[in-house]
Amino acid sequence: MGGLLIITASGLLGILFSNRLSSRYNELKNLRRFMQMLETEVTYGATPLPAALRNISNKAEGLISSFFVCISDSLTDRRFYTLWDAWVFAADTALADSSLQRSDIELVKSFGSILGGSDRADQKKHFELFYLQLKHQEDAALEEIKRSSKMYRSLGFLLGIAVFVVLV
Amino acid sequence: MDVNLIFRIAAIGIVVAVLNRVLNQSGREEMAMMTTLAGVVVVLMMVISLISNLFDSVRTMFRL
Repeated sequence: MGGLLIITASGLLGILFSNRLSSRYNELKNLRRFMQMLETEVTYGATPLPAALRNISNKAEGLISSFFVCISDSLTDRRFYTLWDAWVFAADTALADSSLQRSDIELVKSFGSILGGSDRADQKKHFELFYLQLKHQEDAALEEIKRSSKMYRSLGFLLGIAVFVVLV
Repeated sequence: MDVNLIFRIAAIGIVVAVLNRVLNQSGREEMAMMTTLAGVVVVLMMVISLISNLFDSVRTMFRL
């Protein structure tokens, strides 16, 4: 009975780890999609950023939505002096409990210093660069999934069995 | 002499072998090496008292 518990617990732990890998990939993909929406709002619609962020957060769901809502709220409440401060604050709070890794969050943060700082053509270029970097992270995440998602799953069960054998 | 010990060692051997395969397949050779070593150490811990018993009996048998 106890052995069964140990094996299922560690097996579930392994599945949890491998799920975190795939959810990181999905979150990066979502992020890129909604950044493209933001680019459209900024370069073609010329919408002010709080409104643009609000629009996108209505379309998005989950973490990405709460990220945009957090920025938009802190901008409309005038809680920070610059967009960058609001952006970094939102990245620290809303994205903290996501599956994104530190490097992903740093990338998002660094983009906040550029957004809203120059004219449309320049913004467009920076968006392109940001997509490229996000794409790079996505590819890395996909590679990671291919390499170790299966491994984590079987590793969890096998370690559970090993602990069970050693204890009993 | 406890027969269960033999089965337990066999089970550890199987688990470590499969772990080794899995880790090798996902390109973590050094980790596979570490698990193999850990398995060896665990089994050694299990049998070390028996080995010392064996040495003791040999010593008494030949009056050394």
